Amino acid sequence: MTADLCAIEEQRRDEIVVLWLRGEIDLSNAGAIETQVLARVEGEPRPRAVVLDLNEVEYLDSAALAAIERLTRRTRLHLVLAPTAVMHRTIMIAGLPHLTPVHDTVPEAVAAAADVD
Amino acid sequence: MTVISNPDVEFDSGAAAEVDSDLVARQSLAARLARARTSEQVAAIAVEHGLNTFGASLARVAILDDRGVFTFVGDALHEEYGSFSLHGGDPAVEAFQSQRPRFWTQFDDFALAHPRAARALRPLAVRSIALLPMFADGDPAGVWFLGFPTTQRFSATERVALAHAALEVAIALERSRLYEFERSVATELQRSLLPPPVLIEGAGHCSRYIAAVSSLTIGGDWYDTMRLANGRIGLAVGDAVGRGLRAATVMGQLRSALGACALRAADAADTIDCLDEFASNIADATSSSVAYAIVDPVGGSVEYCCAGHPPPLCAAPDGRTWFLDQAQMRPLGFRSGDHRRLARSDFPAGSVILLYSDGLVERRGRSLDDGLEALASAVAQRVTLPIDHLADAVLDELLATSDRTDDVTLLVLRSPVSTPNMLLRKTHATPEALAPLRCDVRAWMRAAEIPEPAATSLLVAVGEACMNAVQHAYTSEMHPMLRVEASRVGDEVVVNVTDTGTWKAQSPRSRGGRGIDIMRKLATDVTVQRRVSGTTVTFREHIGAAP
Repeated sequence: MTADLCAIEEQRRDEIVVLWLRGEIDLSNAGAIETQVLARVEGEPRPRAVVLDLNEVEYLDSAALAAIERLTRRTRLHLVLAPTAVMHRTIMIAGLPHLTPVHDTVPEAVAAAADVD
Repeated sequence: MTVISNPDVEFDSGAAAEVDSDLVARQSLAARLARARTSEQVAAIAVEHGLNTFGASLARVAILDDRGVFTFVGDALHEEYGSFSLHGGDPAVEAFQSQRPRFWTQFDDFALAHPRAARALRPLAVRSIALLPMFADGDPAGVWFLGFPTTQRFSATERVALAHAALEVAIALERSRLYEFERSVATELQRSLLPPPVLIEGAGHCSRYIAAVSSLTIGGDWYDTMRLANGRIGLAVGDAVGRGLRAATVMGQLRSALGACALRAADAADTIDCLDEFASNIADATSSSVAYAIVDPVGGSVEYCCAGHPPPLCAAPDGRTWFLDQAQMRPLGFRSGDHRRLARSDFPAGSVILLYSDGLVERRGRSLDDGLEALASAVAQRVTLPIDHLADAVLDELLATSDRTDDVTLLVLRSPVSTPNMLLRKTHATPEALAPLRCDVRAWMRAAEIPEPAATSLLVAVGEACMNAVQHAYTSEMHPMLRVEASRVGDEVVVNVTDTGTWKAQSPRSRGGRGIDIMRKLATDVTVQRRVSGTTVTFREHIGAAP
């Protein structure tokens, strides 16, 4: 079910992990997605920061938002979400930008993540 | 005696006139009390009698219930009266314990004995006080407090008259208590006999039961929904003769019997034949009525049979309505050789069927045909609405201007549908069902030409409501269902999410609370309606005209 609904692809750029999420995250798979992201966040070598690309996420519910919120407490999380992204309004309304930086593109997010000491 | 039409006149003048007015007063009190049903109504009459007939400026009744708790009913000429209490160690309790009425001609005497109560009363300028403990058959029923604006001597005749009045009120209180008990048992029984709805897959249905306005006893209305073979659905609304506990008992028997008959019977008429046989063996069930329909959502048809009951109404998505009136026959329980008639009708996808009790269409001074016509027209105008809204709107319209003396039952079912104007999907309330449901809603939004970004916002808001239903469905022991209905009429989009479980109270910080917050921010107009049967969340959006 998780595989059907949402795919995760990973790229490492130096000490930064970029995770590209595609699909839908809801009550049925939010827990599993969270676990998969955490495995990368806490795996060795431990990344300095994690960039979560949400531009191609087509659906998020409050279970998914709560999972992202929990991730912000476990690692330095940077979100990628262009104003044109489908879930842009939902994520803004949920107030995630107050918790963690949000960028328009992956290169911007990676640059910002690398800048931090 | 204490009839003080003019406060300046002392009341022991003219003995003959006193007797007459006393008699009149007592008769009017007894007559009025006889019509009171609840203890509150009894107390209100006593209070009013104290003020208007006895000339008190302060009157209050404390009703004592079975748990030993006082409920106060009262009225006074002064607002401060609310601060007066009959609690703990005060004169009323004392009067109660001694089981004797107490009279104080002088307020100062009262103040000496009960300084606390006197402090509360002093601003009210009460001169004399009477406290009448009320007992019915030796059981405490309440206390009647009267404060007078002029000095009362409380002659022996007056004391007897007040005590008589108190006894009448006590008896009425006792009667109301028995009455309330019977009603609570009957209501409880009826509630336990009526099924929890929305447990049928393959169609959306909802039910309403509204008790009569003018009567406190429950009626004999009942309804049921049954899962039958091959995805067919049995629907019944019946009316047992009589009211109160007996009607409730008969109704329970008929409903159970119909459920058993429906499982074995070949068709709807066969089912009612079986129920007929059962009813003829129960004396109280004779003349009860029932309408029974079997909907086949897959085949798009309905078969039905009516026993002394008004015909079910069908309405197609295009607004066409028709009554299922080709199988009208005698009420239940009359032994007769001839079998029940069976009739069939088309039931296209998205059609609604309404079964109801006669209380919905029968009105004093109006023919039944007029009532049926009013029903058909009310439904035709709202045929695309989600069924909960359809049911509420129809009830509102038909019951608005009525002196309803009968209870009303309404059962509405719609077969699943997805047209640009209307969507109905029903599914088990599980997390895995959410994504397929969203897929259907998205497809409908495209067909209904709902533009972005309104469509995505609405999808997320509706998704939150569905998620909430799923999360809270786990608390229920049944297999809860979730129904999503959407309709577009012109620029108006209405989406309805209904679940069978009741939402738990949520603190704003809980996850569910957050979901509701998001829902409210994304959608323009959100209403949450909690019913005994479950929760309905309704979204209304005004969108630009279709491109």
